[in-house]
Amino acid sequence: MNTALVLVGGCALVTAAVKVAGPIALGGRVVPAAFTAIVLLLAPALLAALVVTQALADDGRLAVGADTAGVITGGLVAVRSGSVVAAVVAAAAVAAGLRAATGQ
Amino acid sequence: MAVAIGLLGVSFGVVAQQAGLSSLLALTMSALVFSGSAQFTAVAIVAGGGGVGAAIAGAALMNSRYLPMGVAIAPWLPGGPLRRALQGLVVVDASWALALRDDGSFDRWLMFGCSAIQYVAWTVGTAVGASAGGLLEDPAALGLDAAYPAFFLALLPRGRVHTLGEDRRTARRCDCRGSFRSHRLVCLS
Repeated sequence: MNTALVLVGGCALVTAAVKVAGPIALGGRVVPAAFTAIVLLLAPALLAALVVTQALADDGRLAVGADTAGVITGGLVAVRSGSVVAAVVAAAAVAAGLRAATGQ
Repeated sequence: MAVAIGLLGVSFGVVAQQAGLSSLLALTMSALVFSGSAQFTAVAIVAGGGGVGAAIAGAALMNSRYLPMGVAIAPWLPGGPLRRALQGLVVVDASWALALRDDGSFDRWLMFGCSAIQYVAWTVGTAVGASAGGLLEDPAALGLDAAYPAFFLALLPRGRVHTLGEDRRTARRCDCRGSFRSHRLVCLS
């Protein structure tokens, strides 16, 4: 089978499996408040890990580069303006500008 | 939010096209997977010479955050297992946060609506990016690799300074709610 098709199908299946696991396993049961409090904090923690790895990981090693500067700028813009669009555009603009300036 | 998702969709379309996926496959991936972090990761692994198994495993790892999100929203999804599973498929980061009410419950219809708008923006953006991707020599020159982490950074709840003298547990709860309230403002921007 075509490798690209396996990639798309596999990603779709694992994503669906992860998304439906909670609703199917728990059903309509109400979970304890303490458990919910922990669970609510897990998603932001995983998102934070995602941001750090994507901003710093570079071919299996940690590296600070134009993309790192862009992400930091995007974060600052998000905090200052509260706009996701502005954060995304600022991040891309800074990363692109630094690469153009340094010839990378 | 839809504008940001659309821009990221364009970014994914460009990256996928540059990685060797056809426009149709890139669009199919966005339509079926509907998870930017997983899609970017899988495509990056394959483009870097990794195997399909590693790419799928990477996508699963990226999507592991949907497990606690699904657990949190499960009590507010009615119906039998199949109906709950279909509703669980709609969960994405921004709509999940938007649907979280101040009392810890979820407005599932708000989540469905927000996800539907994001779905259209994501797939249309991917189609545009995949179509235009061939025109770009180097997507990194546009800083597209910084856009997606910045998007997640903007989504992250902002910390609040706990009020002195408050009960620690109450302060923590307020912190969590306040954070997600600001999260909602971000979603509506």
